[in-house]
Amino acid sequence: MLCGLLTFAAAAQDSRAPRPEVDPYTQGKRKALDKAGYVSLGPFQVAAGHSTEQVVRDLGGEPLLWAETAHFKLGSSLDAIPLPDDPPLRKSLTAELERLGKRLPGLRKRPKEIDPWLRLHLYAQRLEELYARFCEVLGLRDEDFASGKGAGAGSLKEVGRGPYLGMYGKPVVLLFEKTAAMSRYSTLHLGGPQDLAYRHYYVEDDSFLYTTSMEQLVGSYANDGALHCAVAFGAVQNLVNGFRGHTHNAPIWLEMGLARWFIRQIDPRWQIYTSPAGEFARGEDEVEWEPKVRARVEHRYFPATADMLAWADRNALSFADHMVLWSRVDYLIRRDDARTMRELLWETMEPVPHDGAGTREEVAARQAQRAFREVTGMEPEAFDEAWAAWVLKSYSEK
Amino acid sequence: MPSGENSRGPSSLLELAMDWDHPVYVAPAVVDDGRTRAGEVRRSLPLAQALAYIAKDDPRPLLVLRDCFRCSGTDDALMTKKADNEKTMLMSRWFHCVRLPPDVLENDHPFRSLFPGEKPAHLFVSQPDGSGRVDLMGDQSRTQLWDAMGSLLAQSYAQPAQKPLQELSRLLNKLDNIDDQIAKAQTALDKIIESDGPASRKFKKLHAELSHLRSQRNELRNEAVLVSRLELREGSTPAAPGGAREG
Repeated sequence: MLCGLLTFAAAAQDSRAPRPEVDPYTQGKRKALDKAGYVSLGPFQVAAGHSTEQVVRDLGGEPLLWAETAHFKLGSSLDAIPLPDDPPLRKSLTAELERLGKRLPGLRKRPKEIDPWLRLHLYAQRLEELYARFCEVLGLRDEDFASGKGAGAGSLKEVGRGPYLGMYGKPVVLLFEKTAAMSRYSTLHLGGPQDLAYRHYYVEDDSFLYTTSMEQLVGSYANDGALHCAVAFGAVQNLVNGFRGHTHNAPIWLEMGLARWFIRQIDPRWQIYTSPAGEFARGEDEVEWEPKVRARVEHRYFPATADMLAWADRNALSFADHMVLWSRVDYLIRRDDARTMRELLWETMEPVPHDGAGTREEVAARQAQRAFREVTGMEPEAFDEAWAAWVLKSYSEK
Repeated sequence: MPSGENSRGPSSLLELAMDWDHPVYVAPAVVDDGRTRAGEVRRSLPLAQALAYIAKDDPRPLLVLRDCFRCSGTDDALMTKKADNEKTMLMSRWFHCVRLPPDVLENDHPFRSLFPGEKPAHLFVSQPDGSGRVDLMGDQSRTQLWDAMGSLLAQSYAQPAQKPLQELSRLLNKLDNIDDQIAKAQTALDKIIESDGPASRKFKKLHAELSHLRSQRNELRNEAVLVSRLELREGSTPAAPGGAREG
C-alpha cells in the first residue's frame, strides 16, 4: 500500500476545466491516429455495460480523455502539470517526449507544460512500451496466443481465450486526478466504492482494470514519476493475473515480484507498495537494493523461498521481503535470459478447470508449488542456495 | 497545500483522513408486465428523498460538499491553504461526509434539491433529515465553519466534542513522535542486519525496541478510537425550527 493517503490538491491550478474536445496533437484524423498507434480516441466500450460516454455522464462531467491502443484501453482525467524540476525525471521525460514526437505530429520539441492530452499520450506510450518490454523480457509474442476471432469469452484454449497474452479483452487503465471520481466509478461499475488504487476483473469482457488517482500520492511521491511506477506496477500485476486467461489469481510472489522487477527498471526511486499503510515510505538512501540484499545473504538473514511461495497477505510483507522477492525474480530473469522465468509463468498460470477436485484456488496453489519445483528443478531450500550464490557473485557490496 | 498535513507522519495522516462517501443515484429498475426495464429518466428528487438517499442508515449528522470545477481543487470550499485544517479534519470523523459531483447543479440531477437556488451553498451541515441545516458558501472563515460543525455536533451527540478534540490533537503529536522513532529504529535495524548480522547484540536490542514501539503505536491508535467515541443523542432536535441559515 502506498504511504499516500487521501490528501488535498497539490497546487492551486485552474485545472478542472473541460479539455479541448479534439486532440490538438492528432486533430483526431485517421492518418495521424494510425501513425500514433491508436485504434481510437473514443468513444468505445470501456467494459460490458458502459461506454466512454456513459462513464463521463456517470461521473458528473469528469474531464476524461480516452485512447485505445493496440493493447490497452486508457482513460485519463489527469490535470496539466509543469515540467519537473527533478533532473532525472526531467531527463527521462525529455526522452519520452522525443520518442512520442516521432509519432505525434503536433508535439512541440519543448512543451512548456504537459497538458491533459499530452499526459494521455504519454501514458498510452508508457503502457505500450511496458507491454512490449514485458513480452520482450519473457520471450512472448502476440502470435503465440489465440487470435481471438470467434474465440469469445468462456471458451478456454490452451494458451488462453484471446490475443492479449491469453485474455480476450484489452486491459483497461483508468487514471483519475481525484479520488472522488474513482470512487464514483467503482460504486457504479465495480460493485462498491474504492478509495485506493484498485484492480478489477471484468468477468463479461475477460479483461483486467487498473485504476488509481493522482490524489493518493502524497509528499515526495506526489509527482508523475511515482505515478508512472504505480501504473506500471498495477499493469504488470494484471498482465500476470490474466496470463493464459484468468482462471485463478497468480501467487503473490509471482505477480508482485515481476511487477517490482519491471518498475525498478523504470525508476528504482519510487518504492511503490513497499510500506504498509501508516508507515513512512523508504527514502532515496535505501534505493540501491543490490548491496542490501547481498549483505543479508552474507549474514544468511532473508525470508525462505518456501515461505515466499506461500505468501498469502501482500500487506504483511516487510521492506526486506520486497527486496528479496525482487532479487529472486532478478535471478530468475538474468541467469538464463529469463527462460526459467518464462517457463514458471507459463506453468504457474496454466488454466485451472472446474473439475471438483478442491476449489480452483486450492488447485492453483498446488499447481504453483509444483511448477516451481519442476521448472527450477530444485526444492525451495536448494533454490535458496543457488540464488544466494548468484547474489554473492553478481551484486556489488556498495 | 493546506497547512499542517505535510509535516504530519503516516499515522497522523491516517487519523486526519476524511472518510468521504461518494453516493451515485441509481434509479430503481421498473418492472412492467413481468419484464424489468431500465430505470426512470433522470430527474431531480424531492429534498426529503435526496437526503434519505445520501444519508442511508448512517445516523451521524451530514456534511455535504459539492465538487466544483471553478475551485482549483475540490476541497477549497472546506479547507484553506493558510490556516490550520486539522480541526476540521478531526471534527469530520463525527459526521457522515458526503461529496457530490460538479453536475449536481444541473436541474435534472437527482440531488439538485440539496443545493437549491441560483447561487447555492457550496457545502452544508445538517441532521440526516435536513433539520438544523447550516449553509456555507465556501468562503467562510474557519470560525464560521467550526461554529457550524460545532452546532451540529452539540445537537447530535450527548457529550461535547471539545475534550476529545484536544485529546486527539495531543495524540497526533505523540503518533508523529513514535512514527519518527519507528522509522529511525527500522533503518538502524536494517543497517545492523546488513553490517553485523542477526547474531549481533545490537540486533536483538533494536528488534525488541522496534517491537515495543510498534505496540506503543497500536495503543495510541486504539486510544484515538476510544477518545473518538461519542454517543448519539436519541432523536436529536435541531437548534432552530426548519429551514437553513447561512453560517
